[in-house]
Amino acid sequence: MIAGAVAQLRVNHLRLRPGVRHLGWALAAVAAVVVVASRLLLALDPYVRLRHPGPPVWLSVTGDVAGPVFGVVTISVIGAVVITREPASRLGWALLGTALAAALTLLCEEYAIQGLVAAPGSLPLAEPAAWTQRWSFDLLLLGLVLGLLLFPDGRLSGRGARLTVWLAVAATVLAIANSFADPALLQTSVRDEGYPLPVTMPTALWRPSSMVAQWLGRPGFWAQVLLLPLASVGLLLRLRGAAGEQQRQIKWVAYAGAFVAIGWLLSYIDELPSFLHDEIPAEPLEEWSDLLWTFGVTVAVPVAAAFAVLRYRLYEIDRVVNRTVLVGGLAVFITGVYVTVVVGVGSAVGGFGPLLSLMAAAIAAVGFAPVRSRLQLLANRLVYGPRATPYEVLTDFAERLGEHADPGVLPMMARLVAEGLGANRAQVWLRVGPTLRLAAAWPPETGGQTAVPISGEELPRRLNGGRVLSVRDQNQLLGALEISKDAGDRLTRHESRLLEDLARQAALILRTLRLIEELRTSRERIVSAHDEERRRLERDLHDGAQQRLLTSLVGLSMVESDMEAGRSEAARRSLADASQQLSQGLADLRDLARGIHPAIVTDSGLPAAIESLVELSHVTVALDVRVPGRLPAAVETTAYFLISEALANVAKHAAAPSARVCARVEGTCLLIEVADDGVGGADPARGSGLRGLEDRLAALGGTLRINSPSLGGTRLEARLPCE
Amino acid sequence: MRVILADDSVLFREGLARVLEEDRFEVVGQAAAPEELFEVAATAGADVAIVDIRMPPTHTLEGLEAAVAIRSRWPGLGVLLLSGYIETQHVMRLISNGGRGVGYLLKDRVSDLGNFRAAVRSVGNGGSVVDPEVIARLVGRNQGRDGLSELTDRERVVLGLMAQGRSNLAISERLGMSHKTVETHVHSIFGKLELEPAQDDHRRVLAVLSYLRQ
Repeated sequence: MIAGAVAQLRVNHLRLRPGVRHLGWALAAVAAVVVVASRLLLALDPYVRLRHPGPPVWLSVTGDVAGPVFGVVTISVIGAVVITREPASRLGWALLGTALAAALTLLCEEYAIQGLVAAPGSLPLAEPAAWTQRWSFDLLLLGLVLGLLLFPDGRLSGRGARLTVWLAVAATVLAIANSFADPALLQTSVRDEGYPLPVTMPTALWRPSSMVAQWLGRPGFWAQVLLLPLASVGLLLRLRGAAGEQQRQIKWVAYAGAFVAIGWLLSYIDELPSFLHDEIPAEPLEEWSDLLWTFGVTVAVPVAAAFAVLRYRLYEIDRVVNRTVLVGGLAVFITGVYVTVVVGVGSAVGGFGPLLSLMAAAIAAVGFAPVRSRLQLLANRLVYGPRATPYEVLTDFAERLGEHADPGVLPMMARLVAEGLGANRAQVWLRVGPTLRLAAAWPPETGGQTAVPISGEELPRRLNGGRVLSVRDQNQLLGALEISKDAGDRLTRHESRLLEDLARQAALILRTLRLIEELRTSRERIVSAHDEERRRLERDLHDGAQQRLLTSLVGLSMVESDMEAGRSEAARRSLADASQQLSQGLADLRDLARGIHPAIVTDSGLPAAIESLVELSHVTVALDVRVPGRLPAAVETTAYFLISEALANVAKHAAAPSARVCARVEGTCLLIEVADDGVGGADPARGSGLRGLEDRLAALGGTLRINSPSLGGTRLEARLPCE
Repeated sequence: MRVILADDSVLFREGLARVLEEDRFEVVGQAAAPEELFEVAATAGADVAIVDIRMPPTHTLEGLEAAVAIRSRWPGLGVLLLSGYIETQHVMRLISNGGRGVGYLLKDRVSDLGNFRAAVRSVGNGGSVVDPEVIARLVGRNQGRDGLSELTDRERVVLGLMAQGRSNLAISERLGMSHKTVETHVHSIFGKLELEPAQDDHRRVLAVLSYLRQ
C-alpha cells in the first residue's frame, strides 16, 4: 500500500512537471506583454519629448524603449528555459521574478505618470499604480541579488551567500515597510532618476510614521545600495574557485556586469565635483555613463546570461574579454590623448585648434603600437592568468623542465606551452626514426593523428591542424610543437616569438631524450648482439666440432666391433675415418676460438693480427699498417673485429676483386680504413654486423663513417680514441 | 628390422647406418629435414625412425616436433629421438600423448653399440626407452620426497631401470636377480609411491615419469 502511495506520489510529481513548465512560459509571456504595454504607454506620453531635450532621439529610443523590452523579454525567456530544464532550480524563478518585477515597475511607472502628471485623472487607479511601482522596484532589486547569488547552477554556495539572501530579504521588507511611513512625495523608480509624482503613500499621514521613516530609511537604503555589489563580489569570488563550463558561465555574466559597474563608477566620478564644491555638477560624462549603464543592464547582462545558460559560445568568453580590454583600452588611450592635448593644452594656450588636433593624432599614432602591446599583455594576463608574460613562461619552462630529461617531462611541456600561449590545445611531437610521433598533449585526451611520416629533415605540412613549429638541433629535426587556438584567434607577434623561444628551449630537452633513446636502443642492440653471438657459438659448436667428435666416436666403436669380428681391413678404414673427423673437429675448434677472442691480437699486436686476417681472406688485400707499439687492448680487439667484419663483407657482398686496409695512429686516435672497388650500396641499417660494430665503436668513444655509393666501391672509416 | 635415419649431418647418418646394418638392421630411408622424414615415413614401411632433435630450418626443436607428429600420424612407427643435450620437458612431451614405441636418448649413447642397438630394437618393438640421464635428473630433483625417501637402495636402482623402459625380465638379467625378486621390488615401489600397478612397460614408464615430474 505504501509502495502504491509512493508510486502515486511519483506520478503526481511527474505530472506536476509539465504544469510547472507551462507556468514558467506563461509568466514569461505575461512579463513580455506587460513590458510591451508599458512602452506603448510611454510612446503615448508627450512628456517623454519634453523631458528629453538633450540626448539624441536614437539614444532615448534605444535606452527607454528597445532596451527595457529586450532586457525583460530575454531574462524572462531564460528564466522559463531554466525552469523547463530544471524545474527544481531556484535560478529560473529568480530570473523570471526579476523580469516580472521589472515589467511591473515599468508599467506602473508609466501608468502613474500618465494618470497623475501627463493627463491627471485620465486613468483609474493611477495612485495605487504609483505605490506599486515603488514596491515592485524593491522586489526587482531583490530578484537581481538572488539571481546573482544563484548563478549559474541554482545553488547557494556557502554561508556568505545564505546570509546575503537573508539580508536582501530583510532589506526589501524594510524598504517596503519604510515606504508606508515615508511622508515624502513618491518618485519614479526607473525613469529619470526619480522624477517626483504628486502623491504620497496613504499611510504617510500618520504621525508616528515620519519617525519610523527616520529610523528605517537610512539602513534600508544602504542595505539596498550595498547588497547588489556584495552579490556581484560573491559571484567574482566563485569565479576564482570555478573551473571549466561553470567558470565560463560566470565569466560571461561578470563581463557584462563590468559594463554596468563602469557606467555606475562614471556616474559617481561625474558627481564628484558636486560633493566637493557643493555646486550643480556639469556631468560631462553623463551620456557615457547612461549609455554604459543602460546598455549593460538591458542588453549586455541579459545576453551574457543567455549565452551562459544556453551554453552557446560558452568558450568564446576568453577571447571576447581579451579583445574588449584591448579595444576599450585603445579607445580610452586615444580619447585621453585627444582630450588632454586639444582640450587641456588648447584651453591653456588658447586656439590653435587644427594644429593641436594634428598633434594629438601624431602622439596617438606614435603611442599606438607600444600601448597596444602593453594592453595585449594586460589582456592576456587577465584572461589566461599570470603566466602569460613571455619571460615568465620561459623561465618557468626552463626551471620546471630543465633538470628532468625523462619522457614524463613531455606532458608537462605540453601543458606549459598551452598555458603560456593561452592555447586550447598543445601537442609535443617527437621524431623517432622516419616518423614524427605524438609524444604528449595538453589537455591529454585530444584526438587526431598520433604518427606522421617525415621525409628527410622536413616538417610535414599538416599535423593536427594547429600552428606547428619545428624543434631543431642545428638542422636536425628533433620534433615539433603544435598549438591550436580558437578559430579566428591567431597568434600575436609576441606569442609567435614566445613559441619560437619555447621551441628552442624544447630542443635541449628533446635532444637529451633522443640521446637517452639512442643509448637505450644501442644497449638493447648490444645485449641482443651478445645473445646472438652466443647462439651462433653454440650452433657452431654443435654442428661443427661436436658432430665431428661424435662421428669419430661412432667410428671408433666400429673399429672395436670390426676388430672383434676380425675384419682388419674394415677396421683400418674406420680408424682412418675417425682420425680425419677428429682433426677436422680440432680445426673447427680453432676457428671458433679465434672468433671468440683472437689470441694473435693479444699475443703479437694489431699489425700481426691484421696480417693474419688478410692471409685468411679470400680477397686480394693491399696493406698499409703503421701502428707503432701496443694500443689499449679494447682498441686493438675492436680494430681487429672491425677489419675482420669489413673483409668478410667485402668477400660476401661486394664482389670486389681487391681491397685495401689502412691503419695508422694520428695523435691520440687510431684511424682505420677499409676500402674496396666492389658494387657499393652498403647500408649499416640493414646489416646487424656493421650496426654491432658501430655500437662497439661508440662504446669506446669512436666513430664510424661508411661511404658506399650505389655507383660502386665501399669505403669504411673508423676513428678510435686510444686513451 | 626396418629403420629410418633423420639427421642433417650426412657423415653422422652414414656412421649410424653402418653401425645398424652391421647388426641385421635394414636402413630403408634417410632424411635431412622434417619434410623428407615425413615422406620417407609415409612410404618406407619402417618399424622405427631415429630422429635428431635438431633439424632445419631453425636447428632448435624441429626434430621433436617431427617426432610428435609421427607418433600421432603413424602410431605403429616407433620413434627414437636423439639429442645433444638432455631436457626432461622433451621426453615428457614425446611420451605424454600415449601410443607405443618411443625413445629418448643422449646422442652420445650411439657409441655404446650394444646398448644402442638394443634400444632401437626395443622401440621398434613398441617398447619405451628413456635415457638414464633423464631418470637421474628427475630422481635428483625429487630427493627427499616422501615416497622416494622410503625406497631402499635396491628399489631405487630398479625404479631407475623401470623408468628407462626396461621390462622386469631385462631388469632381472641386468641386476642378476630372479624374476620373482624384481616383481617384488616393483610391487613395493608402486606401493610406496602410491601408484597404480601397471603391467605394460610403456604405461609403467609413463606412470613413473609423471610421478617424478610432479
